[in-house]
Amino acid sequence: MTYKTDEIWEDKWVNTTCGVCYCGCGAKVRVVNGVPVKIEGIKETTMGGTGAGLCGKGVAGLMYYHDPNRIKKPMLRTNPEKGIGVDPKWKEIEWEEAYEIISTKMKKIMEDDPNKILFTNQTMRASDGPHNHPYFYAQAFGVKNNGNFIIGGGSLHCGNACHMLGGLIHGAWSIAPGLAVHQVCAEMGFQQRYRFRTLGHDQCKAAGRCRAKRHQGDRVRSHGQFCRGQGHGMAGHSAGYGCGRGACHCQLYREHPR
Amino acid sequence: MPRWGMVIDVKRCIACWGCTIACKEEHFLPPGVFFNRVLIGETGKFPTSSKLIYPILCNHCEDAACVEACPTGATYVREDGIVAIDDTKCVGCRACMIACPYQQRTYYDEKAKNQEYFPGQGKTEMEIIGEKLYPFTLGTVIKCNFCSERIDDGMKKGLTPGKDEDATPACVNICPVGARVFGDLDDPNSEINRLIMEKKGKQLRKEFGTEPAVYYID
Repeated sequence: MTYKTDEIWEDKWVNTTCGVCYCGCGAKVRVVNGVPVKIEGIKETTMGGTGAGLCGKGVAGLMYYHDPNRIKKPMLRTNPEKGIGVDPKWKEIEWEEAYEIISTKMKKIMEDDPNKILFTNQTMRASDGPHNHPYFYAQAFGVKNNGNFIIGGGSLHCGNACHMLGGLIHGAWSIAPGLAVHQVCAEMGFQQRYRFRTLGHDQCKAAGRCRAKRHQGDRVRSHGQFCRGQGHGMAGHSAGYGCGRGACHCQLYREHPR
Repeated sequence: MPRWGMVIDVKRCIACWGCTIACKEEHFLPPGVFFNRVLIGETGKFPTSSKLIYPILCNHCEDAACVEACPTGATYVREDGIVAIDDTKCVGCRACMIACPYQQRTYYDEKAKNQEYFPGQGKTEMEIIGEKLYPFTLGTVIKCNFCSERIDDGMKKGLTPGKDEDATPACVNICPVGARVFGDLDDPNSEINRLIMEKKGKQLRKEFGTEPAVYYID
């Protein structure tokens, strides 16, 4: 069990930021023979965990890169029929072709009424300014007054589907239950030190509201099961650890004993 | 000569599995092989229920049961207290796996070697590099080595394990909440000895008398 360096012509660490959630912690990547093989935190950064810390989700972000199912080119839906169980028949196309299809369709809509365009964005790293970009570029499309926006994550990493669905269902980025109205809040994915993790970025306030409710004789029921597949860094965002949660959908967790 | 040890603060641990993943990436472990695990359980009844979170790894015992069980002397305790395996001597009898009270050893066979992270889709570039960079010997037993190659390389450069990242085990570096502290158990002034004394560090399964070098505080 020792390092062998016979066939290794490159072994270096590259400084970057973690892009698995929008906290954007400082991270460094070990690159061997041009292949990223390990992610670690940087001690000197202000964003990130204690010392050179990085959460499980950030470290496991490596497998997003190595996933053979990663989509690397635009996909075109070739089956006009839609519905459950209908194969969309995705076809891989070149970027030039995709730009042309998008621009012709967009021009047609813009000539009609630019407000018909629905803008959405993905969860990206904090430094990319995920929440501001759509408002800026919406102006370029000639959107007047209030355009149609969904600021929700449609991407593969942080908050996978929850922001997108939060946007579609109640027009908000956060996923906050109506604590002022409801009598009981059933939470799945409760963790000992991760109370109210489903309450979105409103976590601290929501926790306070929950506590107030509790004094009124209300109950916040907790279910002690970690919700698999849905990764989010609720406490991390508020506690300032920059620590995400639940990278358990990553392949590296396969067959972890329960 | 120092004796390396670790203190894990179970109250700080948020069970993010960062250590599990960092370890897998550090040693290029195949699917199903874990040197670092996080055990999660529950105690009590609602509304006073609480969770138990225990990150576990090889305890690097002073009087290790696996060393006694090994018939060839492949498993040995290094001068700095790390329990290591010499894969040239290991015959794969797996007696150590039965002897270890903490279930920290894994037999590396064809099945483990041929596993893919994405089954049926071939090995990823990372796995291919891992086989070149960090090869395990088929038919031997593998386990956590306290990242001894990191410690050794770091010490040669004049770094202090536990303080400098490059000389500290990967799981200690990665912990986002600082629940893991690495250091010298023989040094009475070290950070980990202070923590063990102040917070009454406990060893897992002390009754076996193996004197683990991993302590838990809460």
